[in-house]
Amino acid sequence: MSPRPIAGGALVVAWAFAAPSLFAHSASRLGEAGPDAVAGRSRRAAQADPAVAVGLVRRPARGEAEQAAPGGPRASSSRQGGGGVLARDPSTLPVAPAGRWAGWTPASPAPEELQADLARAAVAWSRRDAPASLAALFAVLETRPDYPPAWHQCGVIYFRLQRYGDAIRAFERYLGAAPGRVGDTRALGHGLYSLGRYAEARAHYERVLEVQPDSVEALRGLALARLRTGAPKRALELLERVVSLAPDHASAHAWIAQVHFDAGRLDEALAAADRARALAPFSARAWFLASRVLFESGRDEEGEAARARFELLARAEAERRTLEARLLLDPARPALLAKLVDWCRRIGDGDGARSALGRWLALEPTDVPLRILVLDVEAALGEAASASRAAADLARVGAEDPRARRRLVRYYTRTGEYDR
Amino acid sequence: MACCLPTSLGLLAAPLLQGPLFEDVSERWLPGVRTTCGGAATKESILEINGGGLVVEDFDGDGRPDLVVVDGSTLERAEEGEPGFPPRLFLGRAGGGFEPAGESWAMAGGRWGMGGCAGDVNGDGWPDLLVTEWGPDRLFVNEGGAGFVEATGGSGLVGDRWGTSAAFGDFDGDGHLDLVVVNYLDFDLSRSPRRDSGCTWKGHEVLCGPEGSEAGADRLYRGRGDGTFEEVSAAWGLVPRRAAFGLGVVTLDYDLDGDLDLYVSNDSTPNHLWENDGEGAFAEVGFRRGVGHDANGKEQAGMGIACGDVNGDLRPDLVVTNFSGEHNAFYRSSAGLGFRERSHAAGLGGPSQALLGWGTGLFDFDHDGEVDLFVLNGHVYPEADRPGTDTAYAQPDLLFRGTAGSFVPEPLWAGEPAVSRAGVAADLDGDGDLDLVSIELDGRVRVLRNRLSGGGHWLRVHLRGAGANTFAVGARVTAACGDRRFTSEVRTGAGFQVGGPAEVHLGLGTAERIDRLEVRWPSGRVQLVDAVAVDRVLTVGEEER
Repeated sequence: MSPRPIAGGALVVAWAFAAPSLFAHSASRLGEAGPDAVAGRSRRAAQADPAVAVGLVRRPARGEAEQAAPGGPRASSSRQGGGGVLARDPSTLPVAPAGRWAGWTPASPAPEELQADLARAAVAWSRRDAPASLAALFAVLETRPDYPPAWHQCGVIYFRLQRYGDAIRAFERYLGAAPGRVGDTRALGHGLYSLGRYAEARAHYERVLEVQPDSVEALRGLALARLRTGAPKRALELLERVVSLAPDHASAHAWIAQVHFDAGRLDEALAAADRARALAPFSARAWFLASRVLFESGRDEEGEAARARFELLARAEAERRTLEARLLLDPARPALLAKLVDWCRRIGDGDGARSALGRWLALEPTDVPLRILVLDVEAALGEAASASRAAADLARVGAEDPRARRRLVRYYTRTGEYDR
Repeated sequence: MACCLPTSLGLLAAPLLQGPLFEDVSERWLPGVRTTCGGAATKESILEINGGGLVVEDFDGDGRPDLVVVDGSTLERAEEGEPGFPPRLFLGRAGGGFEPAGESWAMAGGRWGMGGCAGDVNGDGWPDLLVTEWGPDRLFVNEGGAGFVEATGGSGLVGDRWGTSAAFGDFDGDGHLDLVVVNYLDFDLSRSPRRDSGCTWKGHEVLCGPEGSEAGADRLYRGRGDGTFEEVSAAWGLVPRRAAFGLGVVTLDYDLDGDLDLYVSNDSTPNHLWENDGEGAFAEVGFRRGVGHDANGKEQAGMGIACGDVNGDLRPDLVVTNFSGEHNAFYRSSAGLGFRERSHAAGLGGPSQALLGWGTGLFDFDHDGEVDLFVLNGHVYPEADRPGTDTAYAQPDLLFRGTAGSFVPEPLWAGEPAVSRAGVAADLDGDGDLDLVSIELDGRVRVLRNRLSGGGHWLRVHLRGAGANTFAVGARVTAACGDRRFTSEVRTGAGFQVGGPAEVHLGLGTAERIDRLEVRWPSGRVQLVDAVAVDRVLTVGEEER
């Protein structure tokens, strides 16, 4: 999600239909390959994807957030605060009369009476608090049945929760209210695919591609649906189209490797797996494929090395998946974020560690040990400017703390800035 | 020589039946028999989810299969230190059905029964019984078809963890049956997490799975041939890089080198393929051979295992049942020894995605010459019935009919979905086709009669080994009919917490005669029998030359 300027100071919220992070995640789930699609997906391709630009949400300012979420973020983010919503079947939400939202477009301003709940939903989701965000969206849908952006975002959240049936129902309600918006619903195909309903997934991706013929994720989804339904040759053609549009699409390269491997074309498989490994070095799947190809090629030593790397990355991915799933339900848990940081550091995933630290800092911005950890991570990553910023932040937050001082002395001694 | 019509259109041989192939005859054949695994509608502990086990073998030597039902316990009994419910033997009746065995077959309860298998551990020609437990595994010696005597003490069995599945086989080629016991967890009930420990699944509080618990190392025993064993897990190399949560096991000769390998399904950890060098030294090659993970490199929640030759290349293929949200994995063999996961191409992937599979088996149930697959399903979480889970607690059991190397799903039997667990196939009524027995969690032991009538042909083979491996466990039988070959191995462990009869059943489709039957004995001898008539039980004795 990213901010959208608003006019006249009114709180107007339009929802994100395909924020890059969400759909990148969807893509990775679709591939059952962990975050490789995220890491490897080209930024240019994401920006060029029409769905990304459809609708954006403005993240409310701090004061607005607190107003929108009574009790403050911590209170609303607990499982107790939003847990009940997960026990509700979303299909029980009221249905609008046919054609109620016929004139709606992503540019339409949200009705005034929905603003507070939409803001609450946005704030909650900015913290990746799925229950609280869903609760707010349900309030929207109770007030204005079938309000399209609310259903769409419900679909995105349910998908992240791996509640694929609910995601499908949400996207179908979205399409029911806004039938012209098929292009926003690639994740409906992902949901169908995730439930093993490959023929329906294929049909849906084809619908999306009718309106967005260059949608990388729809093409990729269609390729996988075709692969699952016994058409590997067609799947390969589609995957090659994906990499022609998005040359850095690591997941597509990995799937190309898979198709070649299945067909016994080991050289082609290894080339594609190597490309996937280069693009997404922390993706276990790419290393898995490479290892299998190497073993079958009789290159045992290389196969063993790739396997060792795969096993470490696979363990890290599994731990990260578990932690992320728990955080979706209970985001205000520094201990979970600490584990996430730890796993990222173990495999050398600096970007992942930074991302998790950022979430942690949002919860505990003045925690000195955390600021020390940030400095440790940045220093280890070797990017001087980032480390310098982290040191400055530590100095600001921990000015009176001897632990901070000790760490800063070490840091500045090492950088030669101590005398200054 | 070319006696048979091609059977690639084997469906022609299958009679058209209205409704599912199997019918529930429990009320007639095994009335009122139930098992307990916790017993309560809510599940508080992981101990309560596996259900009991089944072992089918002819224990009294009357030519009819008998049935051992391995029962569990309740948390209350376990916490009080009371024994679990005892295993029970039911003797087969002519024409199908069972009756409780007499007092001489009675077995005491252990701590919490799980599964088992049968094998002749002392070479006296009578099948003995191994029962796995949460607690010490137990051995019951068959006293000449007259009853069981517990012989755990002094047997050398040292398993005291959480045994799930087991299998006998002569792994070192010394002529005596050895034993593998697969273990799930090192489990201490008093310290194990309960349902209120904060474990969630799809937003619902549920009992905690195995993650975070210590895996129970699998045990391998060398049989001495006198009913005693020596624990040789480490000596024979059965030590994985990473201990795993073992649930299922089958013996197989995957590389066709004449010795018995092992395949173990593990929950939430990679499955293991243990390659045997023929003298009892094992190397774990699951990753290398492509049967440790799914095609994406994900370790799945392996439960049951089915093993059979699906594609007619005379090499065993494997199916592993998995958790909901995963698919049942079909690993197809290849000449290069590596398997390829072909679940989706074979039609198994999508239909199993929302189901949680347990007991399974690859057999030609409809005698069309193509191997079929049964899968028993049921979730571990009663909370699966809550919103947003994409699955349900009670689930349909499925029959995947084999059609030229792929499968088409249909209901296994007509009835409401159930919370099924272990299952085993055997010809219970002597009509030539294979029936099924299954466990419903905290429910009935269900007997499913195969309704097949007429249609394709079949052969069942009983082998009598020359040495102490009297039932020739590990032997491979191959029937040649024109240009078709049908093959299977004699095995005792049948996937998940079940033991099947030590025999081979082949569906032959339209083949009206077998040109040549080849028996590769565990001793390495190869014996040929020419011009074998079909639709019968054939007993072959090992020729000592």
